[in-house]
Amino acid sequence: MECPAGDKASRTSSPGRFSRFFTSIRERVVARVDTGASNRRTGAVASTAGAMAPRAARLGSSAVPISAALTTIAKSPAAVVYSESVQHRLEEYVNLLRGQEIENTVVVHVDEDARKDFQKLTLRDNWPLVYVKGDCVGGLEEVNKLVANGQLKSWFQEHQYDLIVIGGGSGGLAAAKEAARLGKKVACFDYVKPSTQDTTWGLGGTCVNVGCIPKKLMHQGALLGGSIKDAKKFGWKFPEGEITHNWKTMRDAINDHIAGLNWAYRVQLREKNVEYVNSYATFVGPHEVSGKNKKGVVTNYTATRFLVATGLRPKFDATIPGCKEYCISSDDIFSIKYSPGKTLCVGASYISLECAGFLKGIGLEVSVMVRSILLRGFDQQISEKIGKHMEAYGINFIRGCIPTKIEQLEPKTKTAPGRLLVHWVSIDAEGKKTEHSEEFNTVLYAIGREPQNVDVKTDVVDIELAKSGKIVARHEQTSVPWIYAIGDILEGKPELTPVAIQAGRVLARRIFQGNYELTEYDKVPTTVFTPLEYGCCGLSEEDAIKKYGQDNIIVYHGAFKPLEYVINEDRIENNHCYCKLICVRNQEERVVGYHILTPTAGEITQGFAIGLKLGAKKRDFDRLIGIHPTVAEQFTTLTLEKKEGEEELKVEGC
Amino acid sequence: MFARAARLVHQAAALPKRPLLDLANKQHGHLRNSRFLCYEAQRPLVFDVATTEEFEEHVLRSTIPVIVDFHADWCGPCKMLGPRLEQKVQGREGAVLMAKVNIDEAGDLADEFRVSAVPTVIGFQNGEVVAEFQGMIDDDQIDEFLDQVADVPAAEQ
Repeated sequence: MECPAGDKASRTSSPGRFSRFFTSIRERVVARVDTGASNRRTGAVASTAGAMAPRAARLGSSAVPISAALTTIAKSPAAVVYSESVQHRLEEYVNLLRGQEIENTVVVHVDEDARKDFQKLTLRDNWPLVYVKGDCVGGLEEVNKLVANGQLKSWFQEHQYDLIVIGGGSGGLAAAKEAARLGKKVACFDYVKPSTQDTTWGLGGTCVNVGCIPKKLMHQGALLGGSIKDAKKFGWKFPEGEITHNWKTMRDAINDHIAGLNWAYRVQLREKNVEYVNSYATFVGPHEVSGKNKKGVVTNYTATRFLVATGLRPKFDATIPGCKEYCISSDDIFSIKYSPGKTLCVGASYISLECAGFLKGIGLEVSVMVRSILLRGFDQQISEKIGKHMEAYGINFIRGCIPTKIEQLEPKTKTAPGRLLVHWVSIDAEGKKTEHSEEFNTVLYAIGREPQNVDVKTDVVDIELAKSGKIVARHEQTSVPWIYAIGDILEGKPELTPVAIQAGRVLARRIFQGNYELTEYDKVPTTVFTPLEYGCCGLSEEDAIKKYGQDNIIVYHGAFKPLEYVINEDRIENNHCYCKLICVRNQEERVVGYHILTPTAGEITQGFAIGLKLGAKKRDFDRLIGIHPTVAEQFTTLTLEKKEGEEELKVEGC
Repeated sequence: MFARAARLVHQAAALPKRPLLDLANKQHGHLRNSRFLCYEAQRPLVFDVATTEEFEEHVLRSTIPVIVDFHADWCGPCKMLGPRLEQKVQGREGAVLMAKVNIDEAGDLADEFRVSAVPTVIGFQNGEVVAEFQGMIDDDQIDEFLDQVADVPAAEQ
């Protein structure tokens, strides 16, 4: 619809103007029907700025519900959202946008309450609030910046794709498929830069290739070794002799499965009409990426929006001689063709502990070197229990140290891991230093993960990064309004596959359909797959105390023996299983923290997490009747309160 | 490619009743079937295809019917089906050829034919798809499939 210049005050009833007015009414009626108004407010979802003569304004521009506003914004080339309190400033905004030749800027009138919703949704205080092509920009200052650097212009050029996703992992693929489902034209760039040991893998990201999937399978492989010992006590007859484990058999079976998943994802993208580009993408323009594949073929694509979901890679310590050259990481462990042999895991992360756990479980000699605490960020009482269990499991912990040097005694070959000499220094209570060294076949570094996407901060796009190198965002929108980020690369959010998947899907619906939906990043349940699994949801005890105060927290806990393990008295787990609920006294003992250390903790925790999400109180857990005999039923009969300074809880008889 | 050729020769040698067909040597006057005198006969009965160009030339433009075995290294059923198909194709003595496409190496080809599961075997006659199956099938079914592709009339089966 044409906006005639400067005829706001005119009331001439020329035919052209009349038809515009009636079109405007038709639009409003259609829009009202569309939103299925349970809200009895009438009228204008939006009117084009030019047709907003005083008469139309009086008639039409009542405030609209936020859902209708968002849907309109998602479909409009530009939108200015306002409420009555700032109506007087509207003209300035509209003129600025019209001055940039943006046809059909839409003004969206919402009430003062909706303003708070917009602030929650966009994490911006600007009011009126400007959207360009459905992406929130901010206020006049932000728009002027885009005008000044020419980016507003390039935003309105024709682009080949609606969305380009950079990163074909959990988050990227979920977002790409959801956007395609909504009818958008999507391309997904995925490329794996080789690890320090030259390992690469196919489509699917960390989780599928070098994370959750192979980890859980190897964890299962290791646990089965323990089950064999149980089986003997249950009467199963085994042939004489030691039962041994073949690394290559396990490794091949797992990698075949992963290759099948890589293929399945390719097929899925094809079937859902997402174009897959196996190239490393870099921004060469504000709306353009370029990627070169293994064969050297360059692809340049433009898009209206981008989603960065490039994830993380293992960190190394360049200050330690031999660290990067000789050590492997989680990028490598799952696909090496020969048994890693005697292994040192450096780090106290769940990656280090999980790997140490399954390597020990399949019969290897394993040590873990930890600088300070175990599982930083997790409940420390449980973390220490995990350490105790792993020690009883046969893993040697070297605490309070880091390596000083790693030397190669024998290089690895295609069939054997080689030999490394690891040096470290320990400092005792008096400050006396002792030097140590020990030979290992493999050293696995798991001291953390970091972004390796330096290319997102270039001359052409300036995406704000945190000190960690991760991307800073307002609900997944980066500092560049048409570029979004999800998954591990996002600062301040849990590094978990299901979080990335959820964020990807919710984001696609929000930006392409204008859904009023945000990803809930709190109360995300998770599980550490150490030999004795740790499931948790909500706050650690330390964080609960910090948030609510020591006196306002009450912890109910229990120690137990899984029934499956009572036949085999050698089962060390019988002395380590534990659970607790952390409750807030003055909120009717609302449960804010759920923790369990037990076999199959993952399966148990998933179900209970819904209770925390719905605000369950301790008495709700008490009302719930348990399933017997299980381990999970513990949570239905927790009566013991945890007291400061008391002795560690011992398991009692059934 | 060499390993494959070696395997084919070995397989052919292991089949007691079927003479080893020296298809590359045009001087053999006693070739039984005149079909082998055309240029495609110089290729082995079973061969790899890795690019769209090779596919066009050796499958789509072949005057002899070709079955294409889309397979993967990580696929258990493929490893079982592949050799059995090859044996059966050898047994047809040139009435039908077999092209093997590794979907990880020739992803574009697999995409083009919208291969989703493996093994997928597609039969071509004069550049057109005439038959197709997915997954493991037993020997009788392989025979039926090859009959269809090679256009063997029902009476002869």
